Amino acid sequence: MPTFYEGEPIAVVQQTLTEEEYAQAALFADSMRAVINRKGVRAAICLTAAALALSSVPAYLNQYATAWIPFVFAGLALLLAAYFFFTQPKRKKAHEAAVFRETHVLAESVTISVYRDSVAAESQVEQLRAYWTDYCACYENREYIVCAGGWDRNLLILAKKNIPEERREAVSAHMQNTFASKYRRVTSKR
Amino acid sequence: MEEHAQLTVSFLPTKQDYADYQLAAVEAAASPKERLALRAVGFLMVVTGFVLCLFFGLGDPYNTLLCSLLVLAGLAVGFYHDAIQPLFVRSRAQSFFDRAQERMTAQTLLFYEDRAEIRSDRYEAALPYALLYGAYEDKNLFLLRLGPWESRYIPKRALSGEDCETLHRLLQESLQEKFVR
Repeated sequence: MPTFYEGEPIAVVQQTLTEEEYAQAALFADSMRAVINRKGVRAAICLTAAALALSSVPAYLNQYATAWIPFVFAGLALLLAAYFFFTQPKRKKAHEAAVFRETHVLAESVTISVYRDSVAAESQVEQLRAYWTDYCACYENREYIVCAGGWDRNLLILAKKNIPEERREAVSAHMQNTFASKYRRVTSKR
Repeated sequence: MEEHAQLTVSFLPTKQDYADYQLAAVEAAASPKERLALRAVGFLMVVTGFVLCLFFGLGDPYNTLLCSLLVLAGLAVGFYHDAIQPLFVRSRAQSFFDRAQERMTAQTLLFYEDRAEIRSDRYEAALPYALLYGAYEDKNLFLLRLGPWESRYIPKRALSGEDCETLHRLLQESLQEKFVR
């Protein structure tokens, strides 16, 4: 049987996530999981490819009569960059929102107790307990603390507005200490 | 008076169970449209490969090789869901199981008329059937789907033939069209 810390929790958070909050937090976690998942990085790769293609135009003109191949390639890369930057984030957010709508347990009101070694989440239908080491990483921005890669539930989302104000810093510092190099914090809105 | 479960199942997952579960989860989440589109694209690639080979490949080994590659790629695309994806999913699941075996703890599931209860050492739930996204059954297991990407499973090896029938009937009656076999 697992033995969990039996002292007082660092914070107790009561929350009922909305579709918008879940989608925002899930999208944030996805963008933090790997650099390539960020819209700016994907778009920048495509823009670089477009620039490289356009830079080969003089060489093409020197060698052949026309240079339609690099122009077509650059056009496609620009379109792809626009897709990655403008359209894909909306599609991803819509996907996460659909996941939230279809996974009814995510919309339940839940009491999350943040302990030194673990977290306990309790709703009317579920009780979940996990060590922090069960999670792969923790990401924090101005609105959310998200632990990703959990065993029984992939994402543990703490909306900061639901954390008692006097405990926010303590929770944040605890996550930073616990996850160490697996903790990432962004101060800009992402 | 204490309510009695219609069915109780306990099991400790094996590597085979986990691989079957991952495969069933992927199958259950697969979109029929995507499956059909891949088949159609694969078929078109195979036909195109043969036609090109007929017109440009005869007598030219380089063109024949290119057309053959197109046909092979078409077969790979067309049969991706039937033959290639299961291999990847199984292999990934088995290697994950090897890494995370100590976390695969025993589970007990109790099925009542109106809900399913799940108990493991870190997770407990009493899920009314109305709260489930659906259920899925294949030759190896039953899948209780909490959402499109989250599910619990019951390997059939942990159930007697009679228990399988009971669970099938219970899920069919409780979930109706949300139960897919």
